[in-house]
Amino acid sequence: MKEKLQLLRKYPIVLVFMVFLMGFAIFDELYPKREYSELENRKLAQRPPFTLASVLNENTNDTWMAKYNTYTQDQVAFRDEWIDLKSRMEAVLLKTENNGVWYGSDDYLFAKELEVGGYFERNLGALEKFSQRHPGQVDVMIVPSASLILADKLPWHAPMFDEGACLDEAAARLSGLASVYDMRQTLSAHKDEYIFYRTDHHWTTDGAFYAYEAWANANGLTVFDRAAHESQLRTTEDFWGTNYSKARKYDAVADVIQWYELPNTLTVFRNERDGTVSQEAGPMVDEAMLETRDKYRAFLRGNNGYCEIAGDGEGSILIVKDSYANSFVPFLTANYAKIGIVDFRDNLNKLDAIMADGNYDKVLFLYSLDGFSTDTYLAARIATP
Amino acid sequence: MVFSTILFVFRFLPITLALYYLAPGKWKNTALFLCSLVFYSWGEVRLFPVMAAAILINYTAGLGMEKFPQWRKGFLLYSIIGSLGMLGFFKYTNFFIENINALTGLGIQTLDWIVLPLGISFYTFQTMSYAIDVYRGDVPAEHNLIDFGAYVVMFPQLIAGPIVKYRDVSDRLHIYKNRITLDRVDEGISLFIFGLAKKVLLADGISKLWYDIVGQASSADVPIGLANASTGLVWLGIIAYSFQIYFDFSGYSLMGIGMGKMLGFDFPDNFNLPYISKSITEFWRRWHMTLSSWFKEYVYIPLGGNRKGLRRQLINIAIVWFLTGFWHGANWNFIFWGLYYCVLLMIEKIWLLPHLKKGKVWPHIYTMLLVVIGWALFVGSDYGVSLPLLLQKLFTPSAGVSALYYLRNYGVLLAVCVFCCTSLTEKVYAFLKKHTLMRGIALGALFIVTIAYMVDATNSPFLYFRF
Repeated sequence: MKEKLQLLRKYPIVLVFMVFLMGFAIFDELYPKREYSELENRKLAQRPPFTLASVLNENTNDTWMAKYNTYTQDQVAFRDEWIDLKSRMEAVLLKTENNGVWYGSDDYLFAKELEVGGYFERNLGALEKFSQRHPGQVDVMIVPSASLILADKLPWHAPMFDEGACLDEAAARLSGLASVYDMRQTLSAHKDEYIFYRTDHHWTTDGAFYAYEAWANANGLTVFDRAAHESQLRTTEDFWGTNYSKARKYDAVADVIQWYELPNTLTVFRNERDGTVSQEAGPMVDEAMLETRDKYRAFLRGNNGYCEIAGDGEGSILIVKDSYANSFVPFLTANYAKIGIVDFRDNLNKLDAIMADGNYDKVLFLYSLDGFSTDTYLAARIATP
Repeated sequence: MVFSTILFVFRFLPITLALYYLAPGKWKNTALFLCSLVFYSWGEVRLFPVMAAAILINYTAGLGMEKFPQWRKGFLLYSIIGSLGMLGFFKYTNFFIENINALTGLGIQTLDWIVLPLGISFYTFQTMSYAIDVYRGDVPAEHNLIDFGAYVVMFPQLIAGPIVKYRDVSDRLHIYKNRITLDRVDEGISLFIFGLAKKVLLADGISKLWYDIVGQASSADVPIGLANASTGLVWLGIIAYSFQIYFDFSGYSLMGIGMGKMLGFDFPDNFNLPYISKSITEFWRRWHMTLSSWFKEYVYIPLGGNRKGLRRQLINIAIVWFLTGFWHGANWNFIFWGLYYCVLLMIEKIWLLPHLKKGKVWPHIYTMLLVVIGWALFVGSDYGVSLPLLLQKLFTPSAGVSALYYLRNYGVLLAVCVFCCTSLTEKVYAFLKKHTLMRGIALGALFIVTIAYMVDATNSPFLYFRF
């Protein structure tokens, strides 16, 4: 035995490698497991329960073995540090992207979008049909992404797809059927301001306001008075958005979230398992969420299937939306008495039924182009009554 | 189980090495056999019977040939029908049904439940080499079922080569004392880490360029689409794919050879810097060497090789290359790919080779250009690719998404890839071999960085798993 150890000294690489391999394996197995990754903003895989059925699962991506593989990867010791190291190495290789996120100038991170989402045509077609059934009642605002408005901040020759052509197509197909609000000019006019988050795919409260302002003016409404609400403006720092969670750029700069603390009540309606509908009333902004990683979820208390806001104006409006609308909707309290909000990612009802039930005067489709072209539920809920 | 995962590197490998090293001499093959079965079953336990059949058929065939020499031919036939039957059934049934339907207008249902068992193209070739070698008397039949089983499912080379013949490892398989030597383990560690880095850093890194154009079945991200890409970008993409397939496949082989050494075996080399070749003939002596030598030994030479005149030789070459193409996949594009090389090799044999030998730079350009075009044929049946469109994009200049961003973003990685295709890597390796401290630092740094990329990777199995 002693001789063997002597011999091993002649092969230091063997010794170090084997000690590291075995040592890290044991260390990693014993390392505390996490439910959730704050930095990546997602749930991590847990140790899968061992059952014969899951071992023999027909779908090879769904077997116990496949899940165990994901589990070891998600729970590896120092996962955050490994990911950070990779992000730094990509910088050493002079890459201008990582994990589907482009590194723009001025610390902007952009979602890498090479082609329009696969549901654009289907959703647009369904929207046409819906607008035909509800003449004069439909407003459509499809918001261009940061990469279109801030195109000069994109990496050199980044192969961003032609968003403008999609917006043009939407406007052309809906003309005469619905009022389409093209936000390209409005947002471009303010592109030197902080209208998009650096690390997140959403627009900022200012960005949402400029869009709201243009829309309210076009509709002859009194615009929400920002100066009068100055004292209710709140600021939360250290916001690390979705694009940061994906790319984990090591020298990214955190964002700042601004929001108005308004007294209006937001009621969330939930379909419970027993068939009843529960209601939960509260403020429009969930301040507890601002303490977490996922700060944007504070707006409208997250994405709910259906909720209503009691506003200070007159009449009613129904918003059909993705999360872009969440920072836009609070301004509508200045104009409407009732604001209904539908998110089809968590709502199985047809839009015609929702409109009739709530007796809504008009409906505003408010989506980011990305959200509109990737929403897998929208078409089925609006194409037919 | 995929080599480039935390599960393999920090669970399977340390446990297997520990069991294998601690097992007493006589039990080492049992430990290897059992661990390899776990490795195989991790991918698809439902196809375990296929593997069991492959082992049992060839084991009994070998014994039969030894015990009943008068029926040797019969046992050989039984073994080959067993191996080729399995390969044919799982890999080619649906291809034949589709083509019969297309030809005759019949509507025979394809058997959609058939899935290709992992590594079947590789291990059926290995078991055939065993049966043929026993038949020829080149190697004695294996008497111990566990030893034989350990050879067939041995995890380092099970799924994507190198194609190890039984006689390559039979000697070491029967050494029970001091099979494992420290100098082998030492070299094995280096090869394993270099192979892993090739796969994770180079192949997976550069693959993203190509996947940006055509997309990936496992990803929801919408790609640029071949139709929208400019000719320049498509060329850059297919060059990236050429790097990917080389580093992916040679990285896997290197890891396999390295782990073989850690276990005390010497597997044959599989790649010898194929992209520095000065002719297609040379390229195929450097690319997937164990497959080429398999076809040479078990098909080309038995058919008469070059001993029966030029005409017969050309026919033999054509047969081998049809089979080589078809082996890579049950699809017409692989057959075209094989025949493409067949034609190029014939042209070189009859006329071009002496001229290529005299040239300095142009033979390299000629070879790489044809190899890259070859990969375009090869990738023609992949997800998001249509072969006619790909060829049209490559050979008729068209506008579209430009290559500039990709040249900028992948510039450094492309340069590293080029470097790693040249013989300079051999010089670096020779230097590191002499300087243990430098080698330790280099391997340590490479291993750590590779782990970081493994942790942050999305699903990326090896390309050759499908073949």
